[in-house]
Amino acid sequence: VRKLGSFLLLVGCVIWFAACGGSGNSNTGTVTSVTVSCSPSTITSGQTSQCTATVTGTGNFSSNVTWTASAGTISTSGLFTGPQTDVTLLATITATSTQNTSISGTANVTVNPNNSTVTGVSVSCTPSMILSQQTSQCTATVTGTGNFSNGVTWTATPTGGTISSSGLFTAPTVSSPTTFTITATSTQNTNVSGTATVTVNPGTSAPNVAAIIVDNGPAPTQFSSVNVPYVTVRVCGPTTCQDIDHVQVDTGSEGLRLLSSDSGGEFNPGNLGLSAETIGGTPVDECLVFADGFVWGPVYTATVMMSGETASNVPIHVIIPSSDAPGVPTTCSNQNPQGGNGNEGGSLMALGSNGIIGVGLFQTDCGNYCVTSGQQCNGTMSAPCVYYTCPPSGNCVPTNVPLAQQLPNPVIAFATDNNGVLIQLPSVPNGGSQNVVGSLVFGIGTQSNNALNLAANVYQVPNCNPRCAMGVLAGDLITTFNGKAYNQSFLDSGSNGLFFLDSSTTGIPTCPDPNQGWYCPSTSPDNLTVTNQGQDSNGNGLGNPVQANFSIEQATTLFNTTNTAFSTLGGPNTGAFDFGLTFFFGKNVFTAIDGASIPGQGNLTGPFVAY
Amino acid sequence: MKSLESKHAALKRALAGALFLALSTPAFAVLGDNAASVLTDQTRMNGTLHSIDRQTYVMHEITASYGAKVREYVSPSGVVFGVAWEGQFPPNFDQLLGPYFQQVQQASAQQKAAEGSEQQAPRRRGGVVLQTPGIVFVQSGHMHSYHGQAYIPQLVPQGVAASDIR
Repeated sequence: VRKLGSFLLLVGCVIWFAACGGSGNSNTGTVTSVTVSCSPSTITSGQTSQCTATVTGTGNFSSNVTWTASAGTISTSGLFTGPQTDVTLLATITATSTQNTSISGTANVTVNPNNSTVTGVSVSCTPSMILSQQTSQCTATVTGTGNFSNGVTWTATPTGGTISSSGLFTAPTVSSPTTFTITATSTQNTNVSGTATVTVNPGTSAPNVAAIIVDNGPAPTQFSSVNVPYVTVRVCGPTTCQDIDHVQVDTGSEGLRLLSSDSGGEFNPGNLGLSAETIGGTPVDECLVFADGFVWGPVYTATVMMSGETASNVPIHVIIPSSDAPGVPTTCSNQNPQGGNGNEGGSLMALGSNGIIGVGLFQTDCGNYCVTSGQQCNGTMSAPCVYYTCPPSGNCVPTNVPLAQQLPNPVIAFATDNNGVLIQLPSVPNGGSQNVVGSLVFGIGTQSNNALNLAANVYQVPNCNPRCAMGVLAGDLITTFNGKAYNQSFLDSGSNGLFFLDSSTTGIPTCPDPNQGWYCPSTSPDNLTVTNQGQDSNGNGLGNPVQANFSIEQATTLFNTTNTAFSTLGGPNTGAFDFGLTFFFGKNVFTAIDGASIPGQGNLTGPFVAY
Repeated sequence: MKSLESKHAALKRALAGALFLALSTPAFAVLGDNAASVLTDQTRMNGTLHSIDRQTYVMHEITASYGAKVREYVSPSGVVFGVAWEGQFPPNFDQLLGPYFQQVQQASAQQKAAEGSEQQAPRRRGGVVLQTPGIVFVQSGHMHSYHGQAYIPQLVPQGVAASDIR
């Protein structure tokens, strides 16, 4: 098996100057000899040998020669191609002076019969799913016997896409997902070919679209992220900007949080000349608690850009390690199950991204609680702490923060397309895919590419402002499974699996250590059906229950590949369904922001999800 | 082995109780503590208390002024064998779980260390599920909305299902 490599043929007068120099117009000198050499001197049928002629003479003589071969063919520049032959033959190559045709030189090239055969061609293209106008690099592996040629020619169907001689496929602009077949055909035996497919999705370079990639994470890439959707975010200070790659798209939170260079991230607010946010002249820090950890660090003001959208001078969170000042208050660290060790912002490996962009259901990350009660917080169940003012020396003190100084969902700060987002990811087959590409589209019903009818159903969810009934939580919907309703369920692109219920309820065992956080069904794939329904603040259903189907495969089997995107990855949870990225593939998923209206949709306002 | 576990737990409870008294820390009803602490919690949370007798146990629900809820499950012998919570933020686990918070932290740290250690064990992102012989801890949710439960398997009364603690 030989990999097709790129090679360069060097021909022409640049190299073999002596063989083709001279003006040829008025040669008054005398040609005395022509000598020829060919390299290589032994070839097989169909292969080439480059011949060069050296012309000597006196005075102003011409160096031009004409080429002839006793067998096979030879070009005007001396490139000899061996003829088809059943026995070894000797081809005589002759170069004849054009100035004096009685003077010539010869060399012999041995041509061996070509006993080689090409038995197969296999093709792979990376990435296998791209957007309009993007490229995918295809490579061919030719197999055969003997001294076979690994040359191939490339074609792409249907028409529209183009492919270069080196296998670089460029997608056309498509209006619906389109699968292209890429074919590599052996040049030695045109009856032998191989194919691969590349799926092209409609996403374009429209001003409200940012490209999503689901790959194995930021460099260095040994973190092996799975099911994490990343985008690139541009952050600007007064005069300079920085592009931060591999920022996780999270519909389960609000606000832009960037991993500082102290934590191994790319971001340093000082390099951009950003200003720290202050209250009463004192810098503001934030403790943000997630279900499985927390992040901590100062709040700065920056301008955030994605595709053609700009959020000017908005608060952003800079995530720092526990070793940096100011230190993490225990009122912060005691709100997560890992305690003081739960700082997910301690390293690139812990966070798994260079930051998190929260584009969820709400306008800010805290809301009214932090406006009125932040100051009284004492870290208890009744008064958790979120924002603090941290003087340069001394302890951090909990503080009230007006809405305008809380971290906003960056989308609400855009001038247009500011009522929500649409996440478009292609279908991923059982077993998973590698490096899947999709779109983060800004706005709902504001452009031709984000019409709400791209989703089949709308699921309205409560904002719980000021209150919801017992068991009803902000942003959650009702999922019914086996006749039982679970109304603390939600969609969250920031969860990397479909986490639901437990083994005793589902009958699906968890995987062996160290993957006990994932399901390993004994019959794989295990196909499940649920219904989803919106709800109001009292837990009453809104809209009709709609069936949703998904499959779960053995996580250990999925992880035993190099794939990075899985539509069948799941694990246990509380008594609820967390529809993570697993559920997003092959769907258009809208997240509409609390209070936002949708053009052309009457009184419908966020918060809602639609898919 | 089982009696050793419960002795250990009892010792921990006694220690925690002494520590709490010594430091005059707000005496929240911690897991494994006695039923009387529920009332203290209500005061501390400035919340309303709603109690339901479910024969095999009593559920006390405390609603804080800003909407967060804690439910404490008390066995007939008067011990808090499970807690559940829901609200905009996760609770302060040091206070809610008491000495069991250490066990949760250890189990959580072990799980995190195992995850992400190799290509075949990527990091789980979303919710926490910790099943240890000493304590079960689960939490899920997203910003503005968290819920979870913790219970001590050895203290759950006969006839009570783990799924009742929610």
